[in-house]
Amino acid sequence: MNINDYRRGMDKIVPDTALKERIMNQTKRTYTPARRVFTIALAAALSVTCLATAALAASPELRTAVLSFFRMEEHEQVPSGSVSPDGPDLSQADIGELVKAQYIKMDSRRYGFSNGLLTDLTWDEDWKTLQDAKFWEPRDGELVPVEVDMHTSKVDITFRDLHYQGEFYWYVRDGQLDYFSGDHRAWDEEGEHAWDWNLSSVPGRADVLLLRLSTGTQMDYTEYPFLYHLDTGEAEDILAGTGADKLEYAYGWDWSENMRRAIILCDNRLGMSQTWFCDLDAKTLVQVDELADIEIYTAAFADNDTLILHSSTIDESGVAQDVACYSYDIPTGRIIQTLGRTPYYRSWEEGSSGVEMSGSRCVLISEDGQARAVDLKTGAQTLLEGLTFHQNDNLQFNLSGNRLLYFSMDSKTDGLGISQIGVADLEKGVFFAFDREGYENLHEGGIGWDDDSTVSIRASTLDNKTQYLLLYQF
Amino acid sequence: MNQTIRSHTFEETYDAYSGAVYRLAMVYLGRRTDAEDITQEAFTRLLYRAPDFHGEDHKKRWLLQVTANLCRDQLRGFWRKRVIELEDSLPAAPSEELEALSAVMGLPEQYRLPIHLHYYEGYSVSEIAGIMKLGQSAVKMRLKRGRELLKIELEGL
Repeated sequence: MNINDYRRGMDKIVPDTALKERIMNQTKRTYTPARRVFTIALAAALSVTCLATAALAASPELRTAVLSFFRMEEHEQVPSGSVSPDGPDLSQADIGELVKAQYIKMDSRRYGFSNGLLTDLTWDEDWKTLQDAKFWEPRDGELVPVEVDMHTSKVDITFRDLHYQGEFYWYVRDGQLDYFSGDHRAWDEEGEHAWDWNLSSVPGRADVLLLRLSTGTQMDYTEYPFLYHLDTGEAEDILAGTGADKLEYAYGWDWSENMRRAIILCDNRLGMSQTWFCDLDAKTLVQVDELADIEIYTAAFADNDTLILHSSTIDESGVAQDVACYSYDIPTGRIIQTLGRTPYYRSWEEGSSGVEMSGSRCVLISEDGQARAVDLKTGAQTLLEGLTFHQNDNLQFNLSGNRLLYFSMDSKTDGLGISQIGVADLEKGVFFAFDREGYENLHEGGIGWDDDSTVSIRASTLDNKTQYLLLYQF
Repeated sequence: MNQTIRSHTFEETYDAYSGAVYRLAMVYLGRRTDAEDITQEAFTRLLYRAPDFHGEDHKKRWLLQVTANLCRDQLRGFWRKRVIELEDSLPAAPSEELEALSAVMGLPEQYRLPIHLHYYEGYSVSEIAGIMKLGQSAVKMRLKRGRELLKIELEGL
C-alpha cells in the first residue's frame, strides 16, 4: 500500500451526477420567499402611492420578428503552434466579409485583456502592490506597446468598526476607465473573521468606481457599497438614509444604469433570503415581492424605470422549476406579464425545452429545437428561424441585449470544442455562423462577450505551454 | 477580460472543479451527503459571491479554500453526527486502495487536509498555506506530523 493507492482510490470518489443537476437547478434560484425582516421598521419609508397604484394590466399582444439563420461558406482555420520566445504575438484573419479575427499567442496565463489592451501585470509577493504593468494594443496585425498614465489611489475607510485599506491602480484611455487591484483581505488575530474590499466599474463613468466593502466569508458574507471619487479619494455613502445599511447578509447588488436604484440580495446561513428594491432618490427600501400582488422570486433591471419580476414555482427542496415574468414600471406601479409560466431549460438533459433566463431577457427553446429571443420588458419575441437548437448549443446575450452569441460545442473534445460560432443581431436582423476547423488542437476554456461587438475565447495548446486569446469582431 | 472569465459557462467550471471540491469535502467530512451539501454550497458561492479571479488556478484555489472553510464550519456545528460512517461512503475499490483512503481519512482533521492537498492535488506548502490560511511553517509541521502518523508509503510508486 502506498500513496498511489490513495490516489487511485481517491480518483474513484466522484460526485454523483444527480448533484450536478441539483446545483445547475439551483443556479436558477436567487430568491426564496422567506421570513420578512425589517418590514415594520421600513414600512413608513415606503412610497404608498407607488404601491397603491400597482395593478396587473393585461398582457400585451406579443409581437414576433423573424431572423433567418445562414451558415457562412467560409470556414475559420483555428490557429495552433507554440509561442514565440520574444513574447506575445498576434496574427489575424478575415472570415468572409463579416468577421475579423485576431489571435494572440502568449507564454503564460498571467496576461489579461481589458479596455481593448493586452495587459501584463507584475504584483509583489503579497499581491498587494503593483510593481510593473505592460500594455499592448492589437493594431494592424501587430501587438503595439502602449503607455498609459497609471494613477495610484488609496482606500482608507472605517466601516462597521472595520478598517479597510490598501491601494489600487487606474488609468483612463480614450475616455474609458480601467482599474487593477490586488488582494486586500485582512483577518483578525485568530484568523477567523475576514474583511475585504473590491471595485466595480460604473457604466458610462470614468471618474468614479464602486467600492464594495465586505466582511465574513461564505455564509456570513455581507457587503456594502460606496461610490469612490477618483479625483478626491472620497468614498461617498450613496445609500445614506435609505436603510440599506441595516440589511444583514447583503451579498448581491444589481444597479440601474443611472445608479439611482438597486436590487439587493440578502441571504444568511439559515437559508432565509430576501430581495430588496432600493430607491436612492426617494430613500425607500422595500422587499421586491411587496411591489405587486405576486410572489416574486427575483428581479432585474430592464432600464432605469423598469424592473423585470420573476415569479417561480419552488419545489420542496427549494429549487425553482419554472418562471413567469412581469414588467414593472417603477414610477407608475403598472405591471404587465411578458412571459407565461415556462419550465427552465436544462442544458444537461438531452431534448430539454424551456427558458434560459438572462436578466431582463431570455431565450425560449421549444421541444422541436426552435429558439426565440424574448425582451421581457415588452414581451416582444424574435424567432431564430433555420436554427435547430441542440443540447451542445448555446446562446448568450451581450450586455446591451441587442446581440446573441451562438456557439455549438463538440462533446468529444476535452475543452469546449467550439465547432461553430456566430451572432444573431436583433437590431440589424441578421443571424449567421461559420464552421471552425482545427479547434480540437486547442483546449478551449471559455467564451463570452468582451464588449457589445467582440467575442473572445480563452484557450491553450494541449501541452498547456502556449496560451491563446482568440478575439472575434462581429 | 474579467467579464469573459465570468461569462464562462458555470457548467464548465463545475465540470472542471467539482471533483476536487467534492473530494476535499469527503476528506474533511467523510460522508457523502455532507460532501454533496458542501459542494453545492461552494459552487453557489462561486456563482454569487466570487471575487475577480486572476486565472483558473486562482479560481480553483478559491473554491478549495471556500470548501475547507465550509467543512470547518460544518465540523464545528453541534448538529453534526460525530460518528463518521466511512465504509458507507467509500467507492468500490481494491482493498489496498480502500486501506490507503481509510488511512488518510482516518488522520486527525488538522493533518489529513494538508496531506490530501499536497499528495493528491499536488499543491506546494505555500499554496496550501494560502488555501488553509495557515503559516507555511504550520503547514510543514502538519505535513510532517501527518506523514509520521500514516502507515502508508507516501513517496512510493
